[in-house]
Amino acid sequence: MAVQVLQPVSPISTRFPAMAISIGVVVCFVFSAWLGSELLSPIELWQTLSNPDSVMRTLILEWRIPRVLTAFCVGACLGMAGVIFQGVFRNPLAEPHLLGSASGASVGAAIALMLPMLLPGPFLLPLLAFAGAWLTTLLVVSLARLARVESGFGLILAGVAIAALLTAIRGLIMLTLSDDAVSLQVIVSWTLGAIQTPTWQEFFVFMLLTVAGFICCLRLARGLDILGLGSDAAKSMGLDVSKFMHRAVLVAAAVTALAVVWGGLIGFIGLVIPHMMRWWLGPRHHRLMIFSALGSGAALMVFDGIARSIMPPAEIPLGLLTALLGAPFFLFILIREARR
Amino acid sequence: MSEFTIQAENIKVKAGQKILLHNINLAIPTSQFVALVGPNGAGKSTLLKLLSGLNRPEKGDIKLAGRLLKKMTSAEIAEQLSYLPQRSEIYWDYRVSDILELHADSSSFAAAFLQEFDIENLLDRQFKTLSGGEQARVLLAASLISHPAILLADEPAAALDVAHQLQLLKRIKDRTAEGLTAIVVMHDLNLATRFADRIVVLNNGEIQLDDATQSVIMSPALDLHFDVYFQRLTMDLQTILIPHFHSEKPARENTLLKAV
Repeated sequence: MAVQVLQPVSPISTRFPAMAISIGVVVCFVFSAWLGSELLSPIELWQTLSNPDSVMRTLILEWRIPRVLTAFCVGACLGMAGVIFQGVFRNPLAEPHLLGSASGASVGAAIALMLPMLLPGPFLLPLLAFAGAWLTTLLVVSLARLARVESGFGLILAGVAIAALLTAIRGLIMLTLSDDAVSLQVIVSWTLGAIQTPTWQEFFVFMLLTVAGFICCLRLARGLDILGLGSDAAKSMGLDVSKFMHRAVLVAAAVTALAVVWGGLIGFIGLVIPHMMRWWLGPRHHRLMIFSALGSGAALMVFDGIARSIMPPAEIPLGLLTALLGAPFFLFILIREARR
Repeated sequence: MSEFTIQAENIKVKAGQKILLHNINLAIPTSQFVALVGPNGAGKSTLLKLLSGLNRPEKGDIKLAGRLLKKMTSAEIAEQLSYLPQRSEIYWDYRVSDILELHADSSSFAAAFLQEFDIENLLDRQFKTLSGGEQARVLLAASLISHPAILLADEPAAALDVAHQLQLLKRIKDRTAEGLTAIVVMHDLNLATRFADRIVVLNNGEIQLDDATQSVIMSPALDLHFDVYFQRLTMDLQTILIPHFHSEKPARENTLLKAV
């Protein structure tokens, strides 16, 4: 039997990027945990943390760190959803916010606050947020198909139109809740984007759900890679394209809902970070998913830190900050794509 | 086990009220190079997509090695058959090695295989930056890397210069000698004559001619289906077709040339 000489391909090295992103995540975590209305020097911080009776210590350990970690998980979910939406629709402008999925999730969450008697609170909110995100994404895709503008900008236009409709619906829900000041405040805060501050117990539940979402997203990586070769090529390579797309949208809606439940409507993170990672590490989705999750998580930790420390004691809505960065980036991609 | 690798029986396809294909019967044995030819809009690409399982016919059955295609999963079909689309829809900035890796499900490739397609120096290049000829070589290599029994290629040589057309079709021809069954949509009848064992002429959604290459190109019906007059020049058993408008029919018709 003839000996086959195998020529290995020089893979894109991920050792340096892996080290860089790990260090980046740790630095962003420390930076965000340090940021607050009162900025402590490293020595003061050390003294505070080593004094068990300090109120500031309790504040940092019981309030700020769970919140920073929640910001990381919300960012990771948005990054993963962005990678999936961009991969499934082969559209560099796709992301949960622009496709209307996040708006759908926020309407689901608003309905949950209106109808608290249906199910126990902890389940109703994420379930309706998920249903909202999923149904909205399916609606946007179906509309784009119906109008035969499935690819490119058509999908985004359908997403923007549906998001506008959902914003109006959410406004009506908010009007009906106007007597219920607490719910209304929660919805307003969601609309503008704000990371929730969970207890450690609540955070662990959220973290477990995020890890589960991460595993589901990673399992889509090869399918997304194959889909990038074109629908016909993907089908002929044995991928059941229609079934895969439905599964991928379902997973993306689930992680979007997780992000919306814990962080409200935060745009552009799911667009910007996956793009930057794609430029840095290439288009293969396994790496892209891991690095986008970590990168988006790190970025959102920093944004959240800035949002709560820049104008103390008030907090700047997180969605405004991400939009300040994301909207120009969106325009940049739009022009770049139009020129291709 | 069927003696035919791929069979189509009484296929009918409609798009709205328009009939795209009807009464299609085809049985292709192993190791045959079949050229699927016909004028634009004849239904060649539609038929190829049906045979590859990408689309389903309205009526009729397609069998792959005796098994009904509609009862096979996409993965089972992919094990036996490779489809090379007319246009590459590769979206992301994949490197050549990414494309091969995804088709082969492996990150190392046989050096001989890379040499065969002359792509050993292209592995780290981005696919989109390659020339048309290089892209065509990569796509053909990718579609053959998993050693399928059948290759369905939709105009793989279109938009290539003559040298690259010859190279690409020769590679397919060489593979058929090793057991590959190839059905290739072609527009250039002279290249079809040169490489194909059999030519299937499709027109108005029906198979009009289906025979050994030489019989098909000598058939007067060929002129009818392409709506031109073909002057046939034969030399060393190789026939060359020169198309003319009916109004410009040359004085000397079919000619036997002698080698100089």
